[in-house]
Amino acid sequence: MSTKVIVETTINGVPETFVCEPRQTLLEVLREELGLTGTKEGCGNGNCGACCVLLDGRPVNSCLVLAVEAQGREIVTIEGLAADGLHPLQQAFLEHGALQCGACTPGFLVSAKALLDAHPRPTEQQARRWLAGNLCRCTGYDKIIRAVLDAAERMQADGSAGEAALADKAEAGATGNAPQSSSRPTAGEEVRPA
Amino acid sequence: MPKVWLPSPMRDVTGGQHTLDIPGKTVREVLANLMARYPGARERLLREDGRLQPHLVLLAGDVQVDDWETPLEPGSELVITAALGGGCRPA
Amino acid sequence: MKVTEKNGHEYRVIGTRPIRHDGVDKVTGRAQFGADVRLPGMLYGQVVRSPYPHARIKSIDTRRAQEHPGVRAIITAADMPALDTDAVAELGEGAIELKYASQLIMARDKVVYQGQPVAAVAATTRQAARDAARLIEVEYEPLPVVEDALAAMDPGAPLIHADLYTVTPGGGKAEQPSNVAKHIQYERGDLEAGFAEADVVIEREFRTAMVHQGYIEPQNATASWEADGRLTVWTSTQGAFSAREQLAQLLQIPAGRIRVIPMEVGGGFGGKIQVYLEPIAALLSRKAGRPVKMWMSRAEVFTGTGPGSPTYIRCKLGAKRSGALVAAQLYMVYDAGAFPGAPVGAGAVTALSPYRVPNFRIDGYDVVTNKPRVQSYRAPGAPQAAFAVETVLDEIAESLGMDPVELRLKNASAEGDRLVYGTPFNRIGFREVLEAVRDHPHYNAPLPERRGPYAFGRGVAAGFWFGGSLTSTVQLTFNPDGTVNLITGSVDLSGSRASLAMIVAEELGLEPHEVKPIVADTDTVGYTDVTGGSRTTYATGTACWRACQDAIAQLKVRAAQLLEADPDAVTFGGGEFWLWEEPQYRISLKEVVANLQKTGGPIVAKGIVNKLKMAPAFGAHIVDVGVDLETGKVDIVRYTAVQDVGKAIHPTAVEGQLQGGAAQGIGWALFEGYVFDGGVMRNPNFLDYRLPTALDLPMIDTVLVEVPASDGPYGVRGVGETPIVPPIAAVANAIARATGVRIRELPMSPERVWRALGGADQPASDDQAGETG
Repeated sequence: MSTKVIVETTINGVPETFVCEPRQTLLEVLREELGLTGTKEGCGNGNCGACCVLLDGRPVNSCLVLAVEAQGREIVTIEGLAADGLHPLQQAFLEHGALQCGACTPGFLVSAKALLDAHPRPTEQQARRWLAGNLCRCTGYDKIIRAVLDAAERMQADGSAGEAALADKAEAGATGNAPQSSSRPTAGEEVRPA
Repeated sequence: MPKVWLPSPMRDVTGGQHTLDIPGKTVREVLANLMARYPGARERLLREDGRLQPHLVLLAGDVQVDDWETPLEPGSELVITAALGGGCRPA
Repeated sequence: MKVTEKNGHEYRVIGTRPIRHDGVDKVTGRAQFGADVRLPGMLYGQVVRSPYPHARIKSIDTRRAQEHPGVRAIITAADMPALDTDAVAELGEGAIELKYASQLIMARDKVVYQGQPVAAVAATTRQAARDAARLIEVEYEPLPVVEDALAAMDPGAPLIHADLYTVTPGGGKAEQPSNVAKHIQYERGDLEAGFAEADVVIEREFRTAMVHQGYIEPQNATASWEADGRLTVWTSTQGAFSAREQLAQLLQIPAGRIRVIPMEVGGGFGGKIQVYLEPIAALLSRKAGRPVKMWMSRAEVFTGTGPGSPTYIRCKLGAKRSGALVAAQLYMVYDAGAFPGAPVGAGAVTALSPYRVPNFRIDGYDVVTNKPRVQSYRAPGAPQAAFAVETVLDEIAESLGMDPVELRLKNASAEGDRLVYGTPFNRIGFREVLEAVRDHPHYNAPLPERRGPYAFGRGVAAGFWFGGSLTSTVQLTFNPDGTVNLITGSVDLSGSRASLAMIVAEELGLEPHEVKPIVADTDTVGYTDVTGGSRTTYATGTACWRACQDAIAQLKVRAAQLLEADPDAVTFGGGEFWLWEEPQYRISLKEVVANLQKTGGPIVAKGIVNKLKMAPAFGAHIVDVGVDLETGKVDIVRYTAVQDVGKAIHPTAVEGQLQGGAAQGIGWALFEGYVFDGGVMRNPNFLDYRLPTALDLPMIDTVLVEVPASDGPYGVRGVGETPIVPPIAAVANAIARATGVRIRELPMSPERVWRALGGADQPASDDQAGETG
């Protein structure tokens, strides 16, 4: 067994110190040592995005980050998304039925937050590109994409990112099913950072 | 009298018939009359201990029947078929 | 999406879209999934798996692992009861012989697929468990590998199980052992005469790959074996009672001693019915005297769980010039993997039952190979069969110059037409679904013009699933604030809790959030079968409805007391009890509930469903594809899923089922497939086994047709399975319409399409439609 290392970091705005083996991933430490089990393990090798967290504001797959790399850095997990009520993305996911089993949901929400931080008014195509690193097996992505675009619109309308006081929508899921253009990616679009 | 649908592979004991009108007021009576009329049907349908062969199921209309005392109306149908492997299914 | 009322009833709650009860927990990361369990003193378990697809186990040496720091227990098959019986474990969805199920948990003497467990270790940390697992030394003697099902059927093929004899269609047993576990047969009419009558006869061969359900949450289990012999298991399962029964049989302990606590499930699609880790965690816990948690890596999920069956299907259809089908012959080989049990029966029945065919013969084979033992995957067996039948139908339509939807309408089964085994369909909405397709703007919209190398085509295909019943128990208890606890044994895979609560709210005159749905464990609710087979909203929903009728009857007596009237004089509606003769005397259900203590104490209402009629759900999908003729890449440009849902309880949830099933079917069609090399899987990860991403799909339009089912409340049908049945054939038909080339092997990857288009100088012209007979 290898020597353990002390790591000082900030998680969801709170200073946190933990000890870990140098080979342990950030995902494993979050889940098994710190009890932050909202971050999910779906594949363990960076292909599914269920373990997505923000590291200094950038979305990363925490299964590909060693816990020791978190030294001195700021981490936001799904548990840190809601403040003074649900984040508009969380509210939109609920109203659009953008989740079924819920295993991919935390990763999608964190990725979507990174998207909206960078592009407050994304196009459908941008949203699909940014979220292409997150696999969902239940929804076919339709309602997820609609929820993300709707949340962006509401945040613009509210002029705030943290307000969840959203108008009651009687037919929240009924967003219409207008025929969509081809999902074929076009050149020159912004690609999700690393 | 009730109409009985047999598994296709049983046609050799019924002279090529897939469906037969068999008298009887309950599942048990219909099965008994079927086996009495067609020698060879018994060993296809039942195990030695008298229970249904494990690969078969009985359906009254489209509802599976386990209770052989289930009544069968005249004109009703009893389907004997192979249990489907895999999937939640009617049979 | 407008939901039309076809049965004339107006509902207050049914058909609305409330936020699901477990939603906030799931968007905030608070929902407790199986791998989130943490118990005091908990150990971590790790399985040692066979690297060989077929080998004799010569020895297992655990001494070095035993000495590794932190190790608390090691088990092998020697720690499991030897089950040499012929008993069958009924899983509620599928069945497996117990002796084989036992070997899925732990190999004994011989391994029959790569990834089969041979030993397991529990240690104080996950790292220690993994390190120790690598120190367990297993000596193997490799045996010849049987990878392909058709090769496995060859009389000279190496035998995987020396004691496996083909079960013949009549129920007898073959005299010689073979890799063919079962031969089934369905026949009607006179096949030769039927084909002789046909103006067009087309026969084609189809091959589908082994695919995985691809649930995002890997299998996991936490077990605690107490000193007094009680066993508690926290797990990700589609059925707590099925898991308990399997544990009882595999470990040979009484079911009453086992408590299975179903955690939130991160997707199942049929793959989380069979237990894998649960018995291992239990045995490790018994040996170590501490709770043990374990979960699979993604590679373990791919190789060590139960994917969907790969198939070979030969399909021959004959039709008159009018389009009427007159004869059909199917030869269906379903690969079960290492142990018998491929879903060929359901494949055979779903293949031809959608259409009236007077003369047919279906031969189906359940064949073992050295691959992972298959399990149910959403409408098990049906998508493969529909790929074959619906593609040949499309070719018949082409050769007759008929619209493919009109051809299907001409032959579509309706109420009274018989499934291939003889049972008549009760009320079904296949015709209504096809008419909705025919009249849909998508079906009538012009296709995009060809752009450079990019050609467009439109395909349609149909399919159905039975809509099963099985057994469900629901209990209702009542809180002093007038709210209701809905206690169900049906595990919630996708939001079914909301639909069940809505049924109770509708019946009792409450708001959906005033009903609290609780998924209970095996100690606290009556027996309930698995969540699978599209049965939950239908069967458990019916149990909810029955529980409400029971509750109303009991509460009516209490209301009568409060109204100082005879119970017979009291009626109920809209959430209120009132006197029939004097309607001004009334009291709300909530008030009656709040006063239960004063009127005789608490009440418990129950609803039980044992057997309902089947409620078949038919669907048909329209897809537009764009094919890059230079690279063979296929893009889904537009997609519409139409389905008879009986009655949509929660339309958002129903749309989600249609969209998700379509996406899985598209993945199966275009991207997914195990790549084997001598029985060893070469792509056990999500990079090389590619699931559709958000970039691969357009929005998926849905049309909910509502033809009420014959049984159950509101006419509701189960909807989950059907949407995965049509997509493969729909995509294949669209590719054919775009390119003139038929692809009959999955996945229809760019390389396969490119080759079929003549890439690498492969001629593609002989692969076209239209031979007549």
